[in-house]
Amino acid sequence: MNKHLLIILKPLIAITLFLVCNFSSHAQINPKLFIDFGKHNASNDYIVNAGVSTSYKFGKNKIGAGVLFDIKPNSEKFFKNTFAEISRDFKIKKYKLNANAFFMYNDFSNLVVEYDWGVFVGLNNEKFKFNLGLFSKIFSLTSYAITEYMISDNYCFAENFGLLYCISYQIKPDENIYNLSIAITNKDYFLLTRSTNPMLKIYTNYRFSEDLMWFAEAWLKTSGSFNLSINYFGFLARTGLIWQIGK
Amino acid sequence: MANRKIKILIISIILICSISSCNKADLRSMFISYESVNTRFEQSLNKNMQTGYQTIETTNDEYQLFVMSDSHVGSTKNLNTFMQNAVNADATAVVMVGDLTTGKEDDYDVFAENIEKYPTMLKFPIVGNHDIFFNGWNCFYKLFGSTVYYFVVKGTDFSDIYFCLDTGSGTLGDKQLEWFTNQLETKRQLYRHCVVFTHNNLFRARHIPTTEPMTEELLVLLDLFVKYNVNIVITGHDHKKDVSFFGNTTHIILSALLDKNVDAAYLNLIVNDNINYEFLNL
Repeated sequence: MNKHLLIILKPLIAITLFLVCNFSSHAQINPKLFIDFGKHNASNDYIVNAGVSTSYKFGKNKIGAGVLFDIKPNSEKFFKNTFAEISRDFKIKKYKLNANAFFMYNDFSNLVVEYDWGVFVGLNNEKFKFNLGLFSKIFSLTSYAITEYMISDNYCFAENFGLLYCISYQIKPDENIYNLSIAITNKDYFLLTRSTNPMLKIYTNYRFSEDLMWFAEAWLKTSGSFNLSINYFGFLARTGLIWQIGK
Repeated sequence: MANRKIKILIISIILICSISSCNKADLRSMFISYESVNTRFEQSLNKNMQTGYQTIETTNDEYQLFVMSDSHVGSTKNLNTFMQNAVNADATAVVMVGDLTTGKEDDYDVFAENIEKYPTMLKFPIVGNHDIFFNGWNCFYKLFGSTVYYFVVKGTDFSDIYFCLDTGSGTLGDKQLEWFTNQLETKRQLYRHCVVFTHNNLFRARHIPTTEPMTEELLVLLDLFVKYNVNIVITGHDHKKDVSFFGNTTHIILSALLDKNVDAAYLNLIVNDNINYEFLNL
């Protein structure tokens, strides 16, 4: 297990233990399990991932974390990505808003890894959801790369801030037994694309009961649309279950 | 009420797009492309099979390559200055890193007429996003042929390899990426220096809404650059010069050669046992 993975997993385990030990009857936990299937121009092969995430909501606050695994039989890396996020709900006049901060880690290869972080504000009404914020990407060399390729400097590169956005429309309110939505965004759970590479997402869900919900997502990725030279980049299909534990 | 707001929003977007669509922008390609990057790559490889990959022989221990980007012809004052300076400096070749024209056939003709004034100078052009507007790839292919290739500069005791890649659509595409990976795997160790030219800047150097590659593709490229010790990656697109470093690779973004650009500049790559570079202002 490499050093980067341990750095990320230790706080995640600590947070999970804290949540389990301090679970309040007024809090809510939302574990989520899902599987990804997709392909893109740089993936070389089909992508088959399994993801697990959970969020813990107490009052107006929420914290969450997740991990993504490559479950293809011949995959070189089992652990792929992780994220952690915090948010707080608030109101300005009649508008329901939430402030969010997040961190992502992409254990891309034994040479290069990526760290993303950002902040955004969300505005939700019954059918429309808008997220707007800023993010930064840091690409970094691993200690293996530095040693193996005798690199003496320039171990990482931090990019300028980019715009984070999500514009989403859903046909039913959140509480409905089923729903269907369409969104344009540059943020997925474990992936941030540059602002100029929007992704199209179609989402649906169905509630089996108050505690359990099935969901599915289809993502279309394109490149070059903001350059007026669009090209297909890839797709991703995702399906999974979300549990709602607590009030 | 909500429906009315949506209608107003849609009409506003259409109006803004219509008003902002000057004759240099081809809004159709925001949604539908004329051809994919894979198509351009396959046509380029076909052309490469006919013409072969060029090897430039030199007896000097040091040589120069002049590199420019984003001339956006129309006007040709800076283009001619660049070409003349390359001839005067006895440069080994010029490399043109995309957005050479507006994509329109007339501008391609103007561009070709002007660079043909310097028949002894070797030229290595690549497409940028503007070059493929208005179905411009057909003009590029007819005039220059391939946009994905490599060339070699061979001296008495060295050989350097230069890759020219097509990122006009914001991605290399799966086929070109596979080709590039194979080329690095099989050839890199045979050469002293390895330099990559492509149009789209890879890193986000400043706050402007131009497209950089998808993160998934960028990570693959960064991995390849480290693994195969790519010395320099030279791009354009952003119009403002920038130099950054990641590991042993230098990433250079060129200033636009565009006549209207007050900071118009090009790059002189001076190659010996090291690779040095200087930006030359116009």
